[in-house]
Amino acid sequence: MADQQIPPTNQVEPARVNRQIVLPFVKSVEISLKSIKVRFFRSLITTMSLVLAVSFLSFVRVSNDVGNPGASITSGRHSIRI
Amino acid sequence: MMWATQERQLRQAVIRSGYDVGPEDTNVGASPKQRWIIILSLLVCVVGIVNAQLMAVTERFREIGTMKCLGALDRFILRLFILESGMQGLAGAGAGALAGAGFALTGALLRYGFVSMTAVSWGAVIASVGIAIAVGCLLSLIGVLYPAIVAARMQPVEAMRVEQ
Repeated sequence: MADQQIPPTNQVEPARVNRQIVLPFVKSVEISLKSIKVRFFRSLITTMSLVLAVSFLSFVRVSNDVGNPGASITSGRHSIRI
Repeated sequence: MMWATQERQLRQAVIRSGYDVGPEDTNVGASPKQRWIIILSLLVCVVGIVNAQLMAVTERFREIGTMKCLGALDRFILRLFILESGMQGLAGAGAGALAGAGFALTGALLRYGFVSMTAVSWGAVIASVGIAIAVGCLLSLIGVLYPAIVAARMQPVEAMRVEQ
């Protein structure tokens, strides 16, 4: 009788912590690629505006690069006046 | 000496083709007007990207809501949009930079003749293409930032409630 134990009532059960959800990087790349493929035409239109702007930038810069040797003839070692 | 003659021919061709090169000028086309035109074109491009990405977010309300209900964190959604835009940006900027450089070189070849190809500094051309690709990727990422934050902060219940 005496050794009958009373269960402790004030003991707090440790809270169960769930594992945090992690999305692997490879999976994110896969989902992104799939969403581009699914809405390919819309992605293409978005990309086209970027293509046009960047091609303009590249065109201007490369045109200047091509023209620069002709313009830099007066400077440095080639000091020739036209 | 031959090199100098070739460069002199190129300089004459550059002046004939409409570049405003003074006798002491050592650089063509670095005018503020040209810079403004480029900045405006890039600005229009960013506005277009933001618009398209906002539409993409609206189109994918339910998808985002479902993912969030299944436990996706804000940063997963953010990462998905940024990755998608990064891939689009890299592809678009690469294609655009190569196309622009190709057109510029072809135009120079047709306009100035073969002398332009011998005198051009290929290092500068490659640097220009690289800068254009980097600017394109940056613009794409800037354009997607606001729509991606809107998508990531969306409450799952609101996202699921939207009628399609």
